[in-house]
Amino acid sequence: MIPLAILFARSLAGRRRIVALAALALLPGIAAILVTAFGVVDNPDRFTARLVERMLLPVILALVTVVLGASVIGEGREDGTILYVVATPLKRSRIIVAAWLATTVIAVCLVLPSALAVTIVPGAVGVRGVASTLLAVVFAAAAYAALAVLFSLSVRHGMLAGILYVLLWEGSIASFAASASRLSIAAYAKVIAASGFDDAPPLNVPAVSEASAVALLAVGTLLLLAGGTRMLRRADL
Amino acid sequence: MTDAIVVEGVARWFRDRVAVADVSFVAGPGVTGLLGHNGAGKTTMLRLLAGFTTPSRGTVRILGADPRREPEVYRRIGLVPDGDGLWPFLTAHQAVALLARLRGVADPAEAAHRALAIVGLDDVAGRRLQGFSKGMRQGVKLAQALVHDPDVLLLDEPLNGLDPARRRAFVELVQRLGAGGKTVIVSSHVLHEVERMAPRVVVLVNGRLVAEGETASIRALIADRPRSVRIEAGTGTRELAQALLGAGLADAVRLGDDGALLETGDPDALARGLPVIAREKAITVARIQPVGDDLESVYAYLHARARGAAR
Repeated sequence: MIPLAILFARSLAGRRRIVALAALALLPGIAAILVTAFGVVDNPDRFTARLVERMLLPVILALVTVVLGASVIGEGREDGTILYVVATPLKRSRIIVAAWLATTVIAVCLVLPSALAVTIVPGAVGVRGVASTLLAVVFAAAAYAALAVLFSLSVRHGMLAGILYVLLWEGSIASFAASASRLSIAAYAKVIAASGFDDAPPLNVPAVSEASAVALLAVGTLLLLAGGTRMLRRADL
Repeated sequence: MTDAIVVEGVARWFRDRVAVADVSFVAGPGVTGLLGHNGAGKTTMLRLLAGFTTPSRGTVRILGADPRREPEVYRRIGLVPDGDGLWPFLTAHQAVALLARLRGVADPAEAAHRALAIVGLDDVAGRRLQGFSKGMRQGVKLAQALVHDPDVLLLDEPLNGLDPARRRAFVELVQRLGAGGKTVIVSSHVLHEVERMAPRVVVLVNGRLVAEGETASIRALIADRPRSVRIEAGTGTRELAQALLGAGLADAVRLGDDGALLETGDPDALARGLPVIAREKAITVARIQPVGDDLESVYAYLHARARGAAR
């Protein structure tokens, strides 16, 4: 499975789109650096929290991961390379996990500089805040990646569906409606991230503990991967 | 001996478009040609065999297994798909070795070297696929299909884009594989290509199996079909047509404004007799043109014949 994950990762990293995604992923970090440099931050802790909760997790990380996740198998279907992968005795679940792993690792690598800049540059968040943000990034990326891989196998225009999902659901409805946030990946990631911020309770998130949010995202990811495996068995390639 | 490939009553439709309709055939060791015009359903049929799509109806068994449910069988299947897609950032050797590894080959690197040597690409094994020509890509596709020494090979238009030398080498390789006991299905829309590789052929037209059997008998069937020939001989057209009809060289004649359309069951006899009769009657023939000799017409004839037999 690891050789296949490396192959998928190289496929993703080799496309020109990766440059645009890397630039997009840097936006929160650049925003944090500029705003801090111009000294317009009244409450650095709250500023960091809002940047993580409103920009980094529900929009930037989500978009980057969904585009990658929809590409990893979606573009293999378009150019025919997925046929060589499917025509192997590998269990279908392993193919899906390899695609998911490649997507998650690349997405986390792209967003990592911004996540560090957002939490470190304003200067109010300690090691705990940095760690909780990174944990949130990893778990959210994993869930978004699993969802995007599922989209690429179950919807004709998987990437478009994924982008619409991010913009309309994660970045909009689920961010403003507390009841809707129970079905939002970003909402649980916000709970995880917020556990490291002292003076900034998250807005519109489900009332669950950090441990529960981690568990729910992990279970959700597993269910989405199972759905992806099922779709791969049934899909016309 | 069990047939390696068993297709029973398979149909595949996509919404309201029927790609394959009620196709049944079996194939054992040796080369079987899958012949049909573009859009006849050959690629869909191969995808069904390879487990890349599910039959809407019917069953496909390869070596007794359904590849969609039992991926273990892919250890014994080699596939050359129709697309050009290969990973451009890998070298030929890396691509073939990686797929060998995924298929459980004990020494993937050595197996990749051997497979690339078989298709004559060992000298470019270290080059990235990005710069490969269409013919070289076809070679890599065939090498990856052979690298795990499969029992069944499914080759979708493998001669596409090859230069004559490489084409000849591929044909000989496919012949050797068949003679060596592999079950090979090779698709093509060109009869003479299939003829060189496959002693047995399955003909698809508009998704339906219209003929199946020894390639030579299918060729004879095609050669024996009624032909149409258009002649133009100015004012002598009518007289010449009547004479040909009277001599039994034409079965039917349709006169038009600028010539006559002759139907014949024996085009060779017509070709021999027409100049003789024209000379006897001092008629100058301006034009002789076979009509409907293109491949589409041949397939249409087989289709019509199959429908007639089914009634």
